Amino acid sequence: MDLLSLSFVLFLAVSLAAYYLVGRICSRVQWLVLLAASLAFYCLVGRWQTLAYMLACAAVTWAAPLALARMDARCKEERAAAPDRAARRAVKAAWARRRRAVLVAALLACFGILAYLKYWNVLLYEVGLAASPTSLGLLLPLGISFYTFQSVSYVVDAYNGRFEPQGNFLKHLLFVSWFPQVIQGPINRYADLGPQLLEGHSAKGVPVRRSLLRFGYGALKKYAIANMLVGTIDKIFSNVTPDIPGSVVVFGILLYSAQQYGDFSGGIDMVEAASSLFGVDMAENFRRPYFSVSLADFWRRWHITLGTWMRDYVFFPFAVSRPMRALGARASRLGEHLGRTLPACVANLLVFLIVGLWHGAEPHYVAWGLYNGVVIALADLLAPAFRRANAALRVDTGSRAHRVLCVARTFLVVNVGWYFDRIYDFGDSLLCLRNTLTNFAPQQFFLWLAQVGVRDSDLKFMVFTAVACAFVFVVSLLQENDVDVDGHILRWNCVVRGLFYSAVLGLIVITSFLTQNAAGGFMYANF
Amino acid sequence: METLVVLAVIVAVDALCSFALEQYGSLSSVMWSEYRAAAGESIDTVVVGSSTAQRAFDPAVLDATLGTTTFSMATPAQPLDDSYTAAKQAIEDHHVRRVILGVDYESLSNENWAGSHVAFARAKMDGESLSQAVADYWKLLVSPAFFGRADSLCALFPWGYNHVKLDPGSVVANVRERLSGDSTLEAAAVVNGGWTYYGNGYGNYDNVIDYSLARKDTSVAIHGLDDFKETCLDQVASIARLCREHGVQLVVVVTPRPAFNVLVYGEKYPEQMALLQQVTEQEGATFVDANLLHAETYSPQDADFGDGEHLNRDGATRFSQAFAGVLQALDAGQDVGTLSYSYDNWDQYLASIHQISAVVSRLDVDGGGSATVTAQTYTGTDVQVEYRFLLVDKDGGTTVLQDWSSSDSCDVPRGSHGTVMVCARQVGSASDYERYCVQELPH
Repeated sequence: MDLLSLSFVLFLAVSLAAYYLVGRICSRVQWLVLLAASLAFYCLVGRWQTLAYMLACAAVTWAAPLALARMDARCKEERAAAPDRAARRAVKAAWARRRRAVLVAALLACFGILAYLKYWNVLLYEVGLAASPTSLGLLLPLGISFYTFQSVSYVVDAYNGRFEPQGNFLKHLLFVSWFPQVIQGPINRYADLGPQLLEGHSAKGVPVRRSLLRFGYGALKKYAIANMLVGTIDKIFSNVTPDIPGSVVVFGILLYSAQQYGDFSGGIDMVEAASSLFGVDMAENFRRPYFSVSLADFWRRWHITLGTWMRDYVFFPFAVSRPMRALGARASRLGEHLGRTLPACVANLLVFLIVGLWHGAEPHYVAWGLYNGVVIALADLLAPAFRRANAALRVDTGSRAHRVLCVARTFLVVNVGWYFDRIYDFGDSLLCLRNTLTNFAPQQFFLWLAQVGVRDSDLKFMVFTAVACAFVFVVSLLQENDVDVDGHILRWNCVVRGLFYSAVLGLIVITSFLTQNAAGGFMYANF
Repeated sequence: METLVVLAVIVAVDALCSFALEQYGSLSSVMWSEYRAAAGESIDTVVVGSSTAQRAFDPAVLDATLGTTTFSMATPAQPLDDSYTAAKQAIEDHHVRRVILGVDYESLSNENWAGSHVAFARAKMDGESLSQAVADYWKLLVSPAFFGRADSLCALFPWGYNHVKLDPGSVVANVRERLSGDSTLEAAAVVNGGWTYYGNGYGNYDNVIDYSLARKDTSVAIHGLDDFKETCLDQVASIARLCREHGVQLVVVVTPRPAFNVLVYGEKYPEQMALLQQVTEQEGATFVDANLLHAETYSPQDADFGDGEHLNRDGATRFSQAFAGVLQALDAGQDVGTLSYSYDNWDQYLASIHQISAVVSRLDVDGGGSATVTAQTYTGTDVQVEYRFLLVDKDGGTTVLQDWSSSDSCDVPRGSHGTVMVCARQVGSASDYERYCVQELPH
């Protein structure tokens, strides 16, 4: 079921009608409609056979915090009954160990399922014990990484006492299975999403027109940009040979840059819009990432919820761990800046290694993750040198020109990273990088594209993608300058608005037609 | 109110775009309008299927031999579920006693193309009551091929699916044609340059295939090579069941094509076609692969084909005459399976090809810039082939790179420009070539 389809529209319409109808009768049970819709959606879109994995994940992450809460209560009782301070401390330490054991067991269970389903076969294949990365026939549940990470955040936050754990399993299951997030995120936090799902909503407060506008904007990115480019990118990078011209590689990578953004952020726009129709606002996942001024900034704007998840559950705990503190202390002997940043640099390397592995166990993903980690770590370490250089060269770092330069530099750095992400063989990634620098050969550009099967019509039809990209660029630029673009459009004269919507719909219709049978679902649906 | 105005503007723009961009005089609309015009006439046989069927069977030729009244409901790129719809309509309207389903490899291996569904449904809607038209279109939108996909919403803008070329000249011509008062049939003749209508739903072109372009003309080059889809085989079975339930004879015919376009599939062809034959015969229908008919039943000539997949008018006439003979044999209770080679004895078919159907070439350039042209002929297993490679410069001057020999590859001297002409003939032949192709060299 595509998000832009009659089946999804009907599914959404029936769910919304049921939700607001039940809300009129009894808003306290409104959430049950959301749960029913979410489970139905999971069975319709994913494979119903994999529902058990999500139920298992939900059961584990529901039970563990309740066990932790019970342990807290027992600990309190025992401490109250303890005769002296030493005994109280001993009781606390004993229960802390047990709590940690429960936490570790829950994390192992969640990540164990994820690791087995997502990585085991690839691992066996990489060491030559499986015929192919999918030869075991393991069914990868829809959105497994997203609901696993979300559920784990719930357990860790509950462990840290951030909220009272949810006692009702079905309510917790709704948090895990909320259907708009299950395809490709975002990774929501319980404190933000949980209450919204469970409280009653009335149709009156829903910003329907804004939601529809956002849905259309997402569909434009998905169909007019991502789907239009996927075929050409495939043709280019399925035919990497030692003499592939650098000009073709750069073209392919730039297309991938647009495709990746169009696919992921477009899909997120569509699901955010669908969720907001129920009065439920999910976490934002993109904030115009190609306007970032550094790679670190890029990761604060691209897949934001994964970035914050990594920051809260990997980076901070690791960076302030005892060994890292010790490393920082030792490094500070070589300089205050090094002592302060070195633990963060190591933590960044770990974070991006995990981000790489999260995308897949293949070497090219690991290389992509490490590339990002190394660049960010080096940028941190060398920050004083950059500052001194700027001062020596009298660079006005607050100027618009400097900002534009930083944006362009970051775009370049990000795109070098895409070499490792998109070219599925690590050796080919290096080869393409080398040819970009040493064999650009622009004169072979069209001949090579023709040889790999990119037709003239494919290139000609990219004019539609170019129009869509220009539109997205203008909207993004305005949003970057704090302009409420949606608000402006909604204030337009209704005839002008009708004509504008017709133009956007026309673009979606044409590109959808041109990409029939070529593009599948969302890239991140398999994560 | 504001929302209604916005919706009204969108609907108005959609209608305007449909008027300007939606193909007026599509072959689907010709078929349906002619079919409706024949409402009062007796039709006892219909041909359904895609363009290969549309251009293979001449109803007048069949009728002249068999004494039947045949109408062709085949339309370009007609998916099998639309063939079902067409057959069902003919059974309901005319109680036909025979349905001929013309298919080719791609009818069963390719995903349905939403554009042809829309064109078919829109053409069918044209002469229907509003309620029937809405019901028909809704049926299309909720059909399995559309319901879960963007097509189910985008097809509400049909101009996006069944449009003329998106250049000003084509759009203006389309609008002019609509406003001219020409009938669908007259418009079709204008829009489809070279196409002529011969009656009973049948029209065809007179063009003849250029065998030197075979490399681009193979279906594998155009559509790729996939196995038959289970859903497509199920759809054939559905058509067969529909016919059986109504006491209608179904003949599933794999339409003729040049031998190279059969050989290009390699072993896939007998393997996959055997599945189709099995499904067809299991459902009680008759199966005929026109490409495998013995030469005494049907032997196409080189000039019978318009391209790698379609017969031209003369070819369709010749094939229809031969096929009428097959149907006569069928009516006489003869086992028509004996008229052709079987997939189990594929080698016999390969040995039955006594000419070179086509030669194609490939260019390999290594890292150092050395180029090699390699030729491949499509021919029978017993045919001995020899090749000659000529360098043709921009002015048309030729230089022999490699004279007649059994070697199928030739190194191109560095710095050569222009094209390499690859000639192929049977050993012992004195002709300049039987088939040739041209290989472009890099600039």
